[in-house]
Amino acid sequence: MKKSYKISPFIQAIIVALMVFGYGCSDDFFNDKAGDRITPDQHYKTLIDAGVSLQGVIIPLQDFMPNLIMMDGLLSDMMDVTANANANLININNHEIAPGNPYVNPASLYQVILNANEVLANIDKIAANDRNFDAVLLKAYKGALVGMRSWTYLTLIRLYGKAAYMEDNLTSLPANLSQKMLSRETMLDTLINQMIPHIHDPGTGTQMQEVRLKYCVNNKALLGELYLEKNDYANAATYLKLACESYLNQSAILKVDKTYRDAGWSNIFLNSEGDDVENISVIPYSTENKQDNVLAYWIGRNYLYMVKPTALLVDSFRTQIPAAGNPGDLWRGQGITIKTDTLMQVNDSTYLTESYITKYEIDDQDPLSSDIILSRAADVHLLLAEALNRMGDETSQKYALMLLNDGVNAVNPKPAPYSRWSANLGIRGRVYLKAWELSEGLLRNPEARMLYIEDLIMAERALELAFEGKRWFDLMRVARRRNPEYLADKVAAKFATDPEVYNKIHVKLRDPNNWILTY
Amino acid sequence: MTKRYYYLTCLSFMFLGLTFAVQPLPAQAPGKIVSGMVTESGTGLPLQQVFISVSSTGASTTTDEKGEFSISVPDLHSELIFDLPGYVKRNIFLRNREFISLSMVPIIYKSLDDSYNSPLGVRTLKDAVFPVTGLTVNDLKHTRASSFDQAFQGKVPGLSVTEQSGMPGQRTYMNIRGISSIYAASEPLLFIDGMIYDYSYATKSLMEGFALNPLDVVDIDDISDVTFLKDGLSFLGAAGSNGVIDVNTEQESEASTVIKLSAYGGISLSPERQDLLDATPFKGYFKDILSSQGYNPGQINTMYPWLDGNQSADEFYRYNNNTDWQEEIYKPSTLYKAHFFIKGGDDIATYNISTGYLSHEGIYDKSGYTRFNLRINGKINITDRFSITPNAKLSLADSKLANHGPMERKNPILASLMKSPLMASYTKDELTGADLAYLDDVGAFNISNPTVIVQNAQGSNRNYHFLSSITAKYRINSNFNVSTLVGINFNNARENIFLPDIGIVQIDSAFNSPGDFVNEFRSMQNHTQLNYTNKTASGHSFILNGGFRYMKNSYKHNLSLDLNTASDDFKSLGDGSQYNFLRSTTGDNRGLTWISYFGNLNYNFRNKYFLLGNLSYDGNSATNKDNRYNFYPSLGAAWRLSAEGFLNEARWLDDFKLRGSWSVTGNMFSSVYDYSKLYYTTRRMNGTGVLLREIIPNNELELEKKNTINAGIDLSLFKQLFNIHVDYYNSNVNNLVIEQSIPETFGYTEYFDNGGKLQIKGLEVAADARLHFGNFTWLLGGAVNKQATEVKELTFLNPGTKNIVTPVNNAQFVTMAGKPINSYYGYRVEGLISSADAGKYTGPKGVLMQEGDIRFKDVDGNFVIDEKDMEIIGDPNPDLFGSAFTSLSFKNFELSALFNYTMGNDVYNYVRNRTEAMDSYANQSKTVLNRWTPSHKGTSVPRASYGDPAGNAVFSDRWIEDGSYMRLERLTLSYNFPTWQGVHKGMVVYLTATNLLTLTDYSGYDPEYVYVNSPYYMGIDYGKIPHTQSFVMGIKLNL
Repeated sequence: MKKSYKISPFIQAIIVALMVFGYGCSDDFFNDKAGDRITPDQHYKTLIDAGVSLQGVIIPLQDFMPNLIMMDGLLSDMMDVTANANANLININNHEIAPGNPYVNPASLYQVILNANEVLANIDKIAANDRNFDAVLLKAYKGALVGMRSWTYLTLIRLYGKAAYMEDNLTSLPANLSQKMLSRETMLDTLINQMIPHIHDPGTGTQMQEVRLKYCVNNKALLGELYLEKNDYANAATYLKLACESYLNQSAILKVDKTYRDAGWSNIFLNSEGDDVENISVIPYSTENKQDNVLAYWIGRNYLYMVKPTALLVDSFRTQIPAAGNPGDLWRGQGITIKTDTLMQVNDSTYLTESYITKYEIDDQDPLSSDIILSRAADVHLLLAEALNRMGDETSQKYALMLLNDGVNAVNPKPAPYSRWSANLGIRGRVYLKAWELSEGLLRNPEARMLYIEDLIMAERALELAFEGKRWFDLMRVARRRNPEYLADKVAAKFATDPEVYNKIHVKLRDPNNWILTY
Repeated sequence: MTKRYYYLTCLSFMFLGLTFAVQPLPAQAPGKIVSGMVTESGTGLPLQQVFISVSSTGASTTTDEKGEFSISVPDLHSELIFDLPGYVKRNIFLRNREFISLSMVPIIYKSLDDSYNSPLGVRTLKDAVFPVTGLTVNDLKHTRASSFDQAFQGKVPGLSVTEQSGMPGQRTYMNIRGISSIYAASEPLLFIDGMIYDYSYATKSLMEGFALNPLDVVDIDDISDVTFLKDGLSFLGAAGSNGVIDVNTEQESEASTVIKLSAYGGISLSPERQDLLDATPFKGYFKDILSSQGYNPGQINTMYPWLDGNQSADEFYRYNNNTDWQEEIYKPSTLYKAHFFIKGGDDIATYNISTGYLSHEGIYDKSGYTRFNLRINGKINITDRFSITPNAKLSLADSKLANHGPMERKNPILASLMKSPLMASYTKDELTGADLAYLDDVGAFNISNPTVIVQNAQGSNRNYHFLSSITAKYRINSNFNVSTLVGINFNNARENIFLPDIGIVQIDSAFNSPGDFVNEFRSMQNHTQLNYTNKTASGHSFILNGGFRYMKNSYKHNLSLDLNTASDDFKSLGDGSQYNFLRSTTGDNRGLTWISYFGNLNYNFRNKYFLLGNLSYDGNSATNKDNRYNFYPSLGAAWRLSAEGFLNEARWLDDFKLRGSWSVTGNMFSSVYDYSKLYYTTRRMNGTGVLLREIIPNNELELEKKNTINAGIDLSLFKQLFNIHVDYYNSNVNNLVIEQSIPETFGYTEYFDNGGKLQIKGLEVAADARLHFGNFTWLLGGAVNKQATEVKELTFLNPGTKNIVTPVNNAQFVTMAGKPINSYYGYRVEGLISSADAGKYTGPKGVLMQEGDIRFKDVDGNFVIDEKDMEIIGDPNPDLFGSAFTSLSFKNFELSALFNYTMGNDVYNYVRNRTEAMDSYANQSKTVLNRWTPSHKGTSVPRASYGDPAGNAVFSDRWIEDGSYMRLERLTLSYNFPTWQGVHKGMVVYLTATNLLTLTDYSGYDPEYVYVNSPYYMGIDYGKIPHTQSFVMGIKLNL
């Protein structure tokens, strides 16, 4: 077996050296990945990647929306704390928010922005890779991303008065953690400028068809809302109206029609994801998939029950006048949005009653799967009515009342701008409530009339959109154009039983600086 | 430091090497005759037949019956080699001496001339430049240890070994020279037969507080030697910063067949009991706690009619026992082991096969550990230059585990301490009070039935290890040889757990829960190395190694938990609920690739001056591309003073060497470096998976690097009868990874960067002595390690942050500049609130403190006890630890003892927190008899109050105790039977007592434990299974 090899040691050493350095030249060699995660080079290849990334942008809102709704309700006049509430909620209710209050943490919102920027920076790669991802889709996706990002910024400036503006995809932390903070006003302008290129122009028939992407906001509605926030009512009305209509001059998409009429109204919340005439943007939850809606858990009577509807709201539902029958908002009030139970007999004549929020347990079999709606048709219609009313002219105000009351359907002949809105039943008409009418005196006084209609719209928004995270923003918007007192009055009314607290809150909220949350 | 600097270092090594190599040989001097005498170290008896050769000429001779010799050498700088079977071979330089008086050490004793295996090859201890310790078979004998790491305890200076608990099959926590990182590994790198054995991952278990021991892949009886390299590991690059333990199983085999059998059997006693309340005082306490809830005696009587011994009350027999729950769960247990070993072969091929079986019962029912090991080593000489060494190890371990986490709901030890003595294990006949066949449910005091946890909760683990390699060696010429090793390591563990409904406290809607866990680790490795050795006639000696290491690891686990099977008889995963929301499945799948090119130069001149340099260029997949490749240099020098002429006359001085070194190593074993890369992670939105970014990556995050300066002295006196080794080290991790908090406006607030500096300083002293008196031989030894890890600096991105507070279950740690790493952070107790102070302080839970509550130190003096009043209340790291060893042999008898000690470490006695909190219906320790009551005020024990509204039991120095201890770890008596021709070639019978005596002030069961292998749980005693006293009797037989 013995052999002798006649290779010089030098050559042998070279062979060994070659063997050694032949290893590990490429980066692939170190391509170890961590767990159930993927690296950027594995992504942005196909249409499917675009879909999962777009939804990934939205998903941090699953964490944030419950907080937003709690903040909205407690800061405004919609919710009150119960004995079960924790200190953080009590502080929000009393407008005494300490640093670190977890409900006020904006991190999830910034995650939306970071992810939107990330996808926007990379989405062109998909277009280059997958021919199914054509120009129409690319435009739709970009629009949706900009829309979701703008909605998030709008929410941030509404809550916190300012927001850290990130222009580009953030791939590493900036030096000294410096960030550009934009004020509410600057941010509104920035957002409007960003949104405009992503609005489909309905004027030309050659425009590509608009693609609606699931879970995303309607960009025209959002642009209208941005203008409304700036008190630019004409532009607001234009875009809010466009949002309800579709291209090529066909009938309206967001109709507020018979689909959710009367008893059907509560189905809005059951069909939240499957529907496209009412619901625009929805954050889904599902216990089956282990994504419990923690909001339903916080508020549910059978769960933590930390908050309850205010007595004002309960009364407001109870005193609505229907088109016929006993007072009460039959299709939206008791048993749907809220519920009042007689719980315990205190003595022979006194019963203790307790109210609770039921809007997130309309599906009583699986309340923790209730979705949270970000935006829906009724919201857009009422914003449109608000803008029209504020435009000040009699015709616009007539349209505003029409949308609030019984809709285009009840008007004959149909006014020209709404000729294709014949299915519209109006917000109140849809739930069979009596239409508001203007008194003679108001008809002669444009200023008083405008305020009166605005009050009606605000009251209606409180009922229609109760616990959907709108009220605090509505109050601030209206108070900014009217008087800070407006907001202070509304919110302090919650504490009417305790004059001392009432005064404290009222004084505090008369200063708009105190509306701004800090974290 | 730039890369250029490293290159220069590297080049200067080579230059240095070459200058010596090309130095011309000195002119050949005329031959000289040297004479001398060889004696046995210790006894001084002359040794005959010692083979003596001159390394440069090959001339040789042997000693005569007086131990004397004379030999011709070319000059008086020649090197002589002394060799005698049964004695440690010695090489010495003449150093101008014409007469040599030399003593040789019997191979059974430690000697400076021992060689050791390092990952680079075989080296000699006395020539070491970096600190190293070697262990041999003798150090690991006569132990009941179920794996070799347990037997390292107290044997190696600088190494701390803590058994995590007394649960059989449990791993140890090993650490060489202190904790060097918060997020990355602090445990030494282990080599087994030349392969890196990553043992961090294969330890995972669903059992809280339990970690499997992957080191059981090698049976302790198969080990031939172990080397501990404590510094200078730059040739391992990013894997070298925590030291190396190089374990080698028996490889060499002679041509004649050898068969060895060994076995032991024995028992473990159950632990000493904790002092708890009996039935009567418990009733008193129970009434007290009920009245603290506002119940008056009448109401109490209505709720618990059996409390006052009313026999007619419902469930009287269920609640009128006096059970010692510790007695119910503990039992003595048995230990067995058998091992069979055979080796043999011929010139072409040799083999070395062994197999072992081990069974250790736990100290309570249905717990235990059994294991089967198989090992096959071989060597095939294909040509006289080319050989192949295949090597395979297989082990199968079955464990029956018990939970020992912080929840008394599942931890039988906590439950046995907290369960009311009024109840009993079994349900009672309502009329007679006799035990029925069923274990009782939870009952009135809301503590799980410990007997149920022990008997019905299931935790079975089956662990397979496979470790195999093949090494090819080729000798190119007398100077060069090349070797390559290819190996795989595979570990698979499967665990099934089940927590029953009856007898266990329920949480929410979960009744019982089955769970399955699969854990898999794989590693592929290649080590290729070119060696060059040369020794010039003038005394220059070179060893050069160069090569590379490649390692690809994969870590993967899958875990499923379900809830609510039909009954406690249905225990498997498939029997659980069909509802998705009651199920949970998680998993992990990670990888690590590493390649390291290394060079090593060993130079010495006549064993007098030593120079050692290492350099590696190392790339790994842990960090992102920017910081992937790094250089790791180290340099060391040593000077043997005893070889200098001026000490030639000092006969009492055998060896005296000074060492100094500097090294840079890296620490890549951590998933924290994932924060350097952008990953997309997945979440679910309804039924689909959606994708979003995980973090804001830190592109600049780099591997932690450790710089160490080491200085050492090796001293050997009186012909190696007395040896001392001293090492001082100062290690700095200047880029310690810490967690930063970044503003919410970045969305992702988790961020890690190299913002910390850590310093580890220490002094190690090890000494041993050997004394001979007639037939008696007395060995004595010990080690003292002084060690301190201090956070030198923390740089936070957020200017408001001053330190890092890390809450863990029921405790808090702080990382603060200028303080020891991971100090306990909590309140300080100053006594009890007096009647004058009642209502003055707001307690930690926001309630006004009453008389009889704890008065915490109000640091900021605002009468509100909150986080601003927290301070460092203890340090879990020991100041000093070490061991002492002694053995006395007389003829064939040997009596040996090993002591371990630890001093100055603070422990958090969570068990005492639970049994002295006086906040629930749980049973309490006898201390609470001294609690504050309106009629008993002069005490330091606070009042009992349900739910502890005052916060008396929060994490404070009330629960911090001194964890110092000294333990008689092992006491062994053995008898060595003389060879009996034709029957056996050697037989030893021994009796070993383990853990015979512990001296400590610690009030818990056992001061030696580690909760889990994380610096963040150091020192917390959540109620681990204590180490038991055990006695084994064993036999070793050579055929």
